Amino acid sequence: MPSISWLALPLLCWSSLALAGNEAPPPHGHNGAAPGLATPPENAGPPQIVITVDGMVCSFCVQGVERTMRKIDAVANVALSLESKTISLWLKPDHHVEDEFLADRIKASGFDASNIERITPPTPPPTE
Amino acid sequence: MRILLASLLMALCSPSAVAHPVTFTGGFAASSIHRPGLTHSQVNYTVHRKLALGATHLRIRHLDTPLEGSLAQANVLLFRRNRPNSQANLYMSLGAGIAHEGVELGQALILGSLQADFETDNFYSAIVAMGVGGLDQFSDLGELPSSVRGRIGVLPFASGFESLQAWAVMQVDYTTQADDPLSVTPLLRFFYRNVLWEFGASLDGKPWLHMMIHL
Repeated sequence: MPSISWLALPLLCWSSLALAGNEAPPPHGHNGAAPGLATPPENAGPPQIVITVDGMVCSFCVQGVERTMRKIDAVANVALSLESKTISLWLKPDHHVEDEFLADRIKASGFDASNIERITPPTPPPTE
Repeated sequence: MRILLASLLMALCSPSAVAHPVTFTGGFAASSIHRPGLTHSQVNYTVHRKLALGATHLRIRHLDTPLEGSLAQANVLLFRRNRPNSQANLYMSLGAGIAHEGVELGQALILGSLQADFETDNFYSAIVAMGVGGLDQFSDLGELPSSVRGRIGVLPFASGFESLQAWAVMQVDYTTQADDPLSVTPLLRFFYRNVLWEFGASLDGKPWLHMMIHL
C-alpha cells in the first residue's frame, strides 16, 4: 500500500501550480522586449532607475528580488532582465527612493547592486 | 493562507530538500524529496538574508536501521559571493528534534549539514553533506548515518524570465549504512516562476521526485 507521502504528491504538484499562478506578477505581455525581460509596463516610457545586480543568474532564485522591489511604496512597476542582469524600476508620480535604500533591499534579497543609474527623461523642446 | 496551505501539504507529505536553505528576507520555502526508501521535507522562513528557521521531517527506510524523525532546523548562509554572471554559496544547517523510529524513544535526534553550490546562467553545481542520528551517534561518527550528494547541471536552451526553464542534472549520492550506498541519478529540473520540480530515476531504477516552492 502506498504511503501517505506518495498519495499526497499529486496534490502537492497541483497546489504548487495553483500557488505559482496566484503568486505570479500581473500579466503585462512582453511588448517586443528582449528575452528575459519580465513585466515591462505598457506605454510607460523608459524606467526611471536601472539597477545592475551581481549574482542574478537564475529565474527561480530572483523571484524574491522582484517581490521585494514591488513591496517598495514608491515603485509602480518592476522589470527584470536576466540577460543584462538589471532591474528596471518605474516610480509612482511624485515619489522618490534613495539609492542606499534600494541597495539595502537588493542585499536583503541575497544579491548585490553594483550600479544604480537614474534615467533622466529627455527635456521637451522649448515652446514659444 | 497560502503559507498555511503549503505548510499543511508539506506536513501531509511528511518528507524536504536542501536546495535553498536560505532564500530572501521574509521569504517562505517548502520542499519535498521522494524516492524509494527516502522522504525528506522541509519548510523554512528566512528571517534575515543569512538565516532561515524551519522544520524538517525525515524518513529513511533504506538504512541498516530505518530512521524517522521531526526536527526544528536553522539554516545559516556562511558565505555568498555574487559576481556579474555567477553566484557561489556555502550554507550550514543544524537541527534538533525527536525520533519516531530508529533511535531510542525520547532521545534527541540531531541533524547537521553543509552545502556548497556554484551557479552561472547555464551551469549549476552543488555538493551537500548531511549527517542525522541520535546524540550518542555523533560521538562515534562511524555509526552516524550520513550522506554526500553531488550535482552538476546544465541549461541547454536559454529561455525568458517568465518561461519554463529546463535543466539537465546528473546527481551522485553516497549514503553510509545504506543497502546500496552509491546511486547515480540523471534528472530533469524545471523552473516556472516560483516553483521547481525535478524528475528522474537512478541507473538502478529508483525514481526521484522533488518539488520546491518559494512564497
